[in-house]
Amino acid sequence: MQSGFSSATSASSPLIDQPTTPFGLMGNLSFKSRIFVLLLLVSCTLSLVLGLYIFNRMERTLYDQIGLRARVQAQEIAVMPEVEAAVAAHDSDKLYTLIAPIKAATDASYIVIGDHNGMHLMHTDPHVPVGSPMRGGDNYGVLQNGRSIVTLERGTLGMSWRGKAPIRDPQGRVIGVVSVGYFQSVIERWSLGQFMPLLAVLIVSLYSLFICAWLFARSIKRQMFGLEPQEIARLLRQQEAVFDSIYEGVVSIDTARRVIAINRAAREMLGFSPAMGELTGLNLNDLIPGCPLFTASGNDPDIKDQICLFNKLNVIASRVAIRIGGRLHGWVISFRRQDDINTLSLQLSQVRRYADNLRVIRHEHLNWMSTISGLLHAKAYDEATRLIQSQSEIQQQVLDYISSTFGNYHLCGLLIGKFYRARELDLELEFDSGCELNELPSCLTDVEWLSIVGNLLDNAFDAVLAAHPEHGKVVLFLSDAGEELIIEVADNGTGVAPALRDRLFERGVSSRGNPERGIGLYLVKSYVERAAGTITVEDNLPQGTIISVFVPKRSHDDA
Amino acid sequence: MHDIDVLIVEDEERLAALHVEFVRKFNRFRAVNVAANLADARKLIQVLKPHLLLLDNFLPDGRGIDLLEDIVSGNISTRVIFITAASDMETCGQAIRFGAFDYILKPVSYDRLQMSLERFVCFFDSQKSNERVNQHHVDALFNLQSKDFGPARHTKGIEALTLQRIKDVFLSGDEAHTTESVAHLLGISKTTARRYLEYCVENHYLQAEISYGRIGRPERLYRKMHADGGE
Repeated sequence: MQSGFSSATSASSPLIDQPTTPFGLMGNLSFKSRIFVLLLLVSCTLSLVLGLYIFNRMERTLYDQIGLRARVQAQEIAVMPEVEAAVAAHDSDKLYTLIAPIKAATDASYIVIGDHNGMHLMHTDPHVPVGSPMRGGDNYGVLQNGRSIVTLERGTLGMSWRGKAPIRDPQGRVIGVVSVGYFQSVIERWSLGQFMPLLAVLIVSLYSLFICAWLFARSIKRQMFGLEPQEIARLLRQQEAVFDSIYEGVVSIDTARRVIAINRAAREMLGFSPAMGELTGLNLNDLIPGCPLFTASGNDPDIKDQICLFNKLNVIASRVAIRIGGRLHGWVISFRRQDDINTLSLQLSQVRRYADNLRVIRHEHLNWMSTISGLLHAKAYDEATRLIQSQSEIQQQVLDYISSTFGNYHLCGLLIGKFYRARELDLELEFDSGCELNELPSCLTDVEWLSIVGNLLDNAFDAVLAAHPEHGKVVLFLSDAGEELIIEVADNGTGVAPALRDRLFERGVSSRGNPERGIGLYLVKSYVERAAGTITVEDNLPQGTIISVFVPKRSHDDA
Repeated sequence: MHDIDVLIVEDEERLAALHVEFVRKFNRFRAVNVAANLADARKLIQVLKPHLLLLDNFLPDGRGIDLLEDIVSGNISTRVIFITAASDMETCGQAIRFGAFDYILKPVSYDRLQMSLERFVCFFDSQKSNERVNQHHVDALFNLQSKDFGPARHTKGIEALTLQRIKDVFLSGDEAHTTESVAHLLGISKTTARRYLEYCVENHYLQAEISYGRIGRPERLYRKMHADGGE
């Protein structure tokens, strides 16, 4: 036991002591918090990346569209004949009156018209002087190649996004440039206006993720019975250690009778060495061929303390159904060597017998002494001598009779004990004059034979005591003169009610409602059946019961 | 002629003196000494080599049964009459197994002790006169030791008259009987009926079988054994 525990503890220690979490800093957090933080972290990162990407795409699209808008406006202004004429004439005022209504109708930040040298002819901002050079250096492509372009440059009024288009005279020569600009600050304001709802959506979804993560962590925790993973691991190890250190053999099987778990004691008793590998998943029939606990259907009630043969080993086995929520999940079979239990019960019965004997001795001696003292006082010396002699004479005769009749020293001891037990109970144990025994057959051990005889006698004593007859009497007939060993115990006690008679030999059934007694006849029946014998129960005349046991002296195996 | 040496092992002085007194009444026996405990007894056995020991079980330094065991396993020719309290029957059974010459319960019945001593004289003489041991002799000695109580075996409790009446019940033929029907017919108790019926089975006059007839419970049936069906 000790070794089982210690080895299991040492095996489990790395599991418990090592910080099992990959997140070093979170080692101190509970499992629930860790799951929660992990989920939150992952979802936050995901939202952030996704949000940034979407925002980026949105901003790019915004810039593209604004650039397109600026260029189209510039192209439209550039092809206006009045504008072409005014540029050709370098008429700034004319240009201003032409452009002012357009500027008022558009959302562009400014509109500029330059000449073919890139000098301002007109600017919607009146602070920019006519004739000053256009800033940004992006006019070259427009003026030299006559192309419309979109650029982001620092102009006279600061960073802006601008579309430029060339102004051509009727001959197709480039005579000037139209530039429609949007300040970056304005675009940024617009893009921010678009980003806000996105941010709101992100925050709402993050919040719901937060709640989901928390609920999830909580439900996991609840499924694990509020235990941390280390605690679960430790519990598992602990259960295994306990399971293996049980002195009883324990096998648990599922509904298909496959082995789920088997402990060390069970392996050893069934003769499976550890080298034979895992036994789990094995069918019960391969483990214990013809397991007597499963001869009946699966729905019958639990079986308790049945004597069976498991792989040539006599065991006392129980079978308990595992039900979870009312549904059958399998069975647990537990069993113990019968020898262990026999030793225990034998010790118990010996202690009891010893105590009984002491009681008898004390009681008898007190009576004796007072009788003898009375006789001596009355000077009836002969009478006193006779009394003393007669006491030991009867005992001596019984001793001589028993030891000469029954050729088994253990049985002699038992019968002598029962004889005096009966005397103390104020009944008579009579040995039938036909009694004789050469030897007890070898199909059962001496202890088992003693159990049969002892239990039958005890049962008879109880029956007689319950009836309170005038003269309680139990007659034992035990003979092996013929082909069979016959053990017959007759009493003049209460008798057995017909309803009880069929169940008399079942475990826990007692005619006197005493569950402790209920095992005696059950044991008798188990042993007799194993020796291929028969038990008969009859009514005695005028009252009482006769239980007879007939066991063939040569079992079929010997023959 | 005091030729049988007796050592008395008894710690109660008065009782030991009584034993000595009693043994002296027999002219064959000589009480050589009294030992009050096991240690003395062992020493005296070694020195005196007595023929017979009157051995009490309860001694101050141990139990007489242990000394008995030593004597038996030590191949010492000393025989033992084992004396113990009536309440100590278990040890008596053990003494039987170890081959005590006899066992006597306290309070000692001097009639019983006398019987025992007389038997020992027979045993002693037959052992002396017949050094060459044959099987017959061994059996006789064995019977002297503890088996010659009561009537002869196999016929205990069987009377010719009742036996004949039992046999008569089966004369009519194939009819099967139980102890109950026989007890009812003859007006005897069921246990007596069982004894006689089983006696007939032993002697192959009847045969017994188990019947699961009437109510599913087994019953033992007896019927006359046929001349051709016999074993």
